Formats: sequence, C-alpha cells, structure tokens
Amino acid sequence: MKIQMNVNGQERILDVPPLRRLIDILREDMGLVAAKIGCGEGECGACNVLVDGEAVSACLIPAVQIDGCRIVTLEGLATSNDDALAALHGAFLEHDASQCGACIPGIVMTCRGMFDDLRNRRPSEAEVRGLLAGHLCRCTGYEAIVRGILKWLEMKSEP
Amino acid sequence: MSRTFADAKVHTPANLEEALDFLANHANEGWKPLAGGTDALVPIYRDGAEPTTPWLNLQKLRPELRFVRRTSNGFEIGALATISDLMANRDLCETYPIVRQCCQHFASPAIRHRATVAGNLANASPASDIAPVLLALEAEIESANHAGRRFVTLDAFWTGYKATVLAPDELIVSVRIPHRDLAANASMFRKVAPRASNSIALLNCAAIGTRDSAGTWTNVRIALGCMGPVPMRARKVESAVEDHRFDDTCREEAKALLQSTLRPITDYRATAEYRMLAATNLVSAFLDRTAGNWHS
Repeated sequence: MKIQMNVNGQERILDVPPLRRLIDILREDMGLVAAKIGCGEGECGACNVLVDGEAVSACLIPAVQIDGCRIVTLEGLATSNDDALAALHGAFLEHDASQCGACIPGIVMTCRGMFDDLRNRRPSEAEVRGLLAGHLCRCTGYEAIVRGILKWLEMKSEP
Repeated sequence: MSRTFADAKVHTPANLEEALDFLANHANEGWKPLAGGTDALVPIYRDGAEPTTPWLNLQKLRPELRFVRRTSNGFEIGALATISDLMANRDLCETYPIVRQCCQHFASPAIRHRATVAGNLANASPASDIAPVLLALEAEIESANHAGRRFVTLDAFWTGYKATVLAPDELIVSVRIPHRDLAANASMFRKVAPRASNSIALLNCAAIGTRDSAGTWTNVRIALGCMGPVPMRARKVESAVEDHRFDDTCREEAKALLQSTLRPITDYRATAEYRMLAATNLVSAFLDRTAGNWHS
C-alpha cells in the first residue's frame, strides 16, 4: 500500500506492506538507524520515536497506522538545532548518562515527547523514574540517566 | 531484511459509518478491529506465521471517537481514547483518583500513548489493568452496528476468556462511567507485578466505597483481575460488608466468600494459592482503612 508521511520535516510517499513495522520502515527502508530494535515487543523502549508529537514504540506500529502522520526520529532532532535536545545532550554528558548508548536514542525521544508537559513544572524524581518505566538500559546505568534528566529539567526551569 | 507479511489483509474505512457498513457486508470473514494496535503486531512478528486475521484499521475514526468528556450522566470515553487521554483529563482523574492510579501503572508511557481503553476491554484479557477500575465504577459499553446502538454493562460484556458479547458486525463506540460514586470517600487500585510499570499483572484489584466516621461501609464495589477467566466483581463480599464495619467477623466472612467465588489459575506468572492470598490481602487492606477521604 502507498502511505504518505512527514519524516523529520520531509514529505515522503512509500509503497510498503500494511503490517510492516514502523521501526523496519525507518531503519531498512529509510536508513534512519538511531532508533534500535531491542525486544520488538514494546518492553525496552529502544525504538521510541515521535509520532504526531508523542513518544511511541515503533516496533508496535504497523505502516497502515502511520499514513498521514508526522514522524520525528533522533536524526530529525539532531539536524534541527533543537534547543531541548542540546540541553539534554549537555546534561547527559555531564552525568555520564550514556554508556553503550543502545537505549539512549529511545530515552531521548521519550524525554523530548514529554518536554512541553515537563517544562512548566519540576517533576519529582519518582515521576522521572515513572517516565522511564518503558525503557531498559542493558548497562543498568539508570542512576546516571535519572540524574541527567533531573539536571536537564533544572536547566529548563530556569528563565 | 525483516519480515514484511506482504499478504496481510487490512481495510481502512474513512469514518464510523463506513466501518459499520463494511462489517455488515463482511460479517463472516473474521475482520478484527485494529485500534491502538499495541497487542496486534507482537504475536505476528514473534511467531513469524503469515497472519490470517484480516484487520479493520480504525485510525481514520479518530476524529469521531477519540475523546474523553463529562456529560450530564457521567463521563464518556470515546472508543479511540488512549490511556494517556484518560490521564490528561484532570476532571476525570480528580473525580475518580483510581483512574489515574491505574493508568500510571498501565504498561509504559509510550504504550499508553497508543493503547486505547476500548481496545483493552475488547481484548478481553483477565489481566487488563483498566478493567477492574471500570468494573468498580460500573461502566457500560456503548456499541454499534449498521442498524443501531446498544448498551451493555461491563460485567456482562465478557463471556469467557478472551471472549465478549460483541457480534462480528459490531464495534465499541464509547465507554460510559455513570455518576454513581461522587460521594465515595475511599478508593484503591493495586497491581501486583514484578515491576511497577510495563509488567503484566499477576493480579490486580480496584475498589471504591464510602466509610462513615463509625467505620460503617456503604456502596462498596470491589473488582479483581486475574482471579478467573474474566475480570470480575466480588459481589458477595460487597454485600457482606454493606452497612457493616470491617471487624474480625466480617473479615473472616469476606475471606471465605473470596475463596468460594474466585477461580484463580496457576500459570508461569503465579500460583493459584499466591493469587488467592494476595487478593484476600488487597481486599482486606482496602476495607481496613480507618480514615475517610482516602484515595490511594
């Protein structure tokens, strides 16, 4: 089937089977490999991307459900001079939040998707841990990731 | 190159009317509604078999069916409202705190953005997290076919494991929560699972009721998941505690009633014995509460 979507700001029309997974379309058909295939079952969050502004697991979404949608991957954030991404990048560097890096693109997309909700208030550490509920870090580096996100939110709540 | 399942059959109607007409004309072909889809692809890709189920993709019905709103009779949750949409509705979450408590433990934020309330109910899993909450709130399902609409109470909606009263030509249109519990001063949602989120429940429990200053309970409703083939109300326990204080006699009676009415199974997640013990403890924990205005 033909689907039309906007990927990282560019209009694309693809001819794909209706149940092809969004993650396979991004990685194999479009060469956008920041999102990773971890579990393929919605457990690990490594494939998270933004669909119409919301972080979702791309391994669970069939092609037929992204027709007409706006997709943003980490590559799209990286090339769009996204201030929120730059700040998160800095906070993660400062706290050594990224180890092997497999989980980080998904976590970044989850954070970015929640940014508008989070920017006007200071969520608790428990809330940040709740935000990470769908992410598995195979290096088990959660403490540094949580510290990095808290630092990021502190930076964003400054005027 | 990953699998593509090129022969999969999917139809995408443009609106609800078109969807219902399509189902009326293809009622015996096994078309299955695809709402949030979070439980649809995993079995296909994990098992690797060419999918035989034809899918009716409801994505284009979102403008019609993705809403959560208050009406004069209660709350109305459109069939394509997501779990995130429930959490974003402050009015609903402040009126019934168990809704937010449940949603916070429902899968992960990314899945909550896609998974729909109606899809979770139609999936008819005994482990659904939202089911006990909506059972305790006495929700009703509004469904439609090409000829009209009907209502069925949620506790009559499931007919067995993974089975519902929905006919092949029928779709859920909305889930209604009646204004019945506005005076309730106690409620609870608990999920027993290996992780706080993104786990499938070993069992879960939702309860709501009113407890006066003397400790007497009224309007108690208790619902449990994973304690039988479908999520279920503990009606005998509700009757036993109505107009009673939860004293030692009442506690023993409730325990006996749970043991005679619940039908948990042993599977790879938990044993039947564990589930029964935990369910009894959760129900007691709710009824033991000594202060009013406690929602947690």
